[in-house]
Amino acid sequence: MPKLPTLRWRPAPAGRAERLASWLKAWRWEQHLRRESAEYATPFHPAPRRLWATNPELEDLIKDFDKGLQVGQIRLLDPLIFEETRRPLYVALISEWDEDSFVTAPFGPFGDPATTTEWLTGRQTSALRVLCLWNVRTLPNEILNRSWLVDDLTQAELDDAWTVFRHASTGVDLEDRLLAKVGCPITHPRDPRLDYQVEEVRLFTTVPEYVEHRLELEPSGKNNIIDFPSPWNVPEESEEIVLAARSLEAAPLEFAKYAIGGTRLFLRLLTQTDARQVEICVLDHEGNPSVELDGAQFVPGKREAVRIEHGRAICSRSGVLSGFRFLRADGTPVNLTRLE
Amino acid sequence: MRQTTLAAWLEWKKTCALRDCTDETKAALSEWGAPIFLNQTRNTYARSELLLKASPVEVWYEFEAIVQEKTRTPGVTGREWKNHLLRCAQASGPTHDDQRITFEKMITKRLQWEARESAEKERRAREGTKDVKIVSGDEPTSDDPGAIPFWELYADADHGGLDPATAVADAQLHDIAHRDAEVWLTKMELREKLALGCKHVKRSLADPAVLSMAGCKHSVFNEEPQKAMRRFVRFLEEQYPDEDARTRRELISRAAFELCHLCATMLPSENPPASDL
Repeated sequence: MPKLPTLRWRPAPAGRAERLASWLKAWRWEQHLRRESAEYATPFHPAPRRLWATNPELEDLIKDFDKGLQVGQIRLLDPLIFEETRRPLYVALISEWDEDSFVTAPFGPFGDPATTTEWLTGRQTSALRVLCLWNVRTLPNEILNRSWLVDDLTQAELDDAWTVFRHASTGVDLEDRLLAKVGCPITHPRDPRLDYQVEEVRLFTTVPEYVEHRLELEPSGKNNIIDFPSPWNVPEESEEIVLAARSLEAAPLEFAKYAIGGTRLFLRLLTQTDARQVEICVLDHEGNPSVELDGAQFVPGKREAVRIEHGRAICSRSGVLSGFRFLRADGTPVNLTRLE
Repeated sequence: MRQTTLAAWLEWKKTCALRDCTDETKAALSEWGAPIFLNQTRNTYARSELLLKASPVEVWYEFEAIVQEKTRTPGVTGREWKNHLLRCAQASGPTHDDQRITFEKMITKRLQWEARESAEKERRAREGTKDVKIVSGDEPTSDDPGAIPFWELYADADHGGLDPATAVADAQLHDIAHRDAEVWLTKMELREKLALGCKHVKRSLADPAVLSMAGCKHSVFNEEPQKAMRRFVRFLEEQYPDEDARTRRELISRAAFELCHLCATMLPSENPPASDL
């Protein structure tokens, strides 16, 4: 006599195994291309802004980013936000989050949905075939305003996207119609789709850094953008950072110099031998340390201000990476102009 | 391979399509790009046979047709991806040659990728979405030497979730799972409980506070989660030898979760003692 209650399962939607097989084929093809062509796998690393070639003809051809963010829009994000990929990243704005951000879902790289939380939109354009509702995140308007409007989701598409998102976030069942348009669940710990998900999540991990590094600074004057040499951008505690720190030990690296508005002084940001710190120096026009601005405050990102004493101050590298302000001792902001 | 020119790329963007470009630009882009596309589509794309006989410009037209974003919104061109391309070129480096090279690199990647996509689209159009061939269930799911076969990946996914009509049975199974977990918890050693608890909350098995409580070395403790779980699964299998295999698997999965959850409540606090503050 059975001791367990009898459970019944809904049948698998037609074509599920085939869709999984097709997805796996695409994934293998992607791996093949990465192996065969080193160039294919190389991420796009934009040059520091000060190193961009001037080319008015090219610049004039780039359409301005589209404003007017609205729920239901499909947008192509500025590639400079995503240094780790050359793939054009499209997102759908599926809901407002608050007045400054939207709930967004990225479109996936493959033509078939990978999991039950990826939804086949029914669109023919390869970049817009699959919406990844498991990789949903809120993106601030500052980021989304750096994008081009590509199309709008219909109300029916938006409703379906929202339903699959609810399924992804709360586990609520999908109706048969939608079950037939999503992928197959992951049930095995060695499923290659787990690697794929890690990669996709990683793409967006640079976004908050980008917001802090560039966007917060740009409105206050493009000259305040700090271009960081690549060793600074690797994750802390990785082997690379140790190597970077070692190379810096041998030769401290100057990475930013600014003219201080209303004075003949300069602000110089230097690395320390410990690559997790930055030395801030106030210099006179001959390059000697100056105490003229002692008491001024260097405010790195959202961290606590450090006071300039004897012409210098030290603050954390990660603080500076997220942007900074420079205030006189009385709190008035100082205009800085980036020098080459 | 023929090299492109920056002027050609810019003209292509300006005119929207190669069809409207000067002969010089047509030649510069298509004679560079067509071999890449043809090389990638060979053996995968039925139309590649035809394309091999086509001119490079016609091959490029094929590529343009594939990559265009088909839109419904009035006023949107479907070519926003070219802005993406230009923006990357703009940020590429200090010389105009860097910009040209970026165009080539970005489009090469696109050609390589779209070659596969176009083959896939062609297959869909020819066979319909339901007729993808699964060559064999034994086919490995990746090119790695130890890759699992397709059937193993799919075995537990061959259903569309629980039938809502069995909600009562579902709740009963949940209660049984919880009860079995509680029963087994009383039979477990502290070391096993701590190990499963750590796994459940993703806490390090090398955590000194946990190791001290477990009273063993890290190397020994590291083995505990698997050993503990194997013992619990064996216990459940012996409890329910004649049940429907799928229902039993479901029970094991739920009971394992319940057990780990109970174990996690026994972990020492992660907060530092007040004396350290």
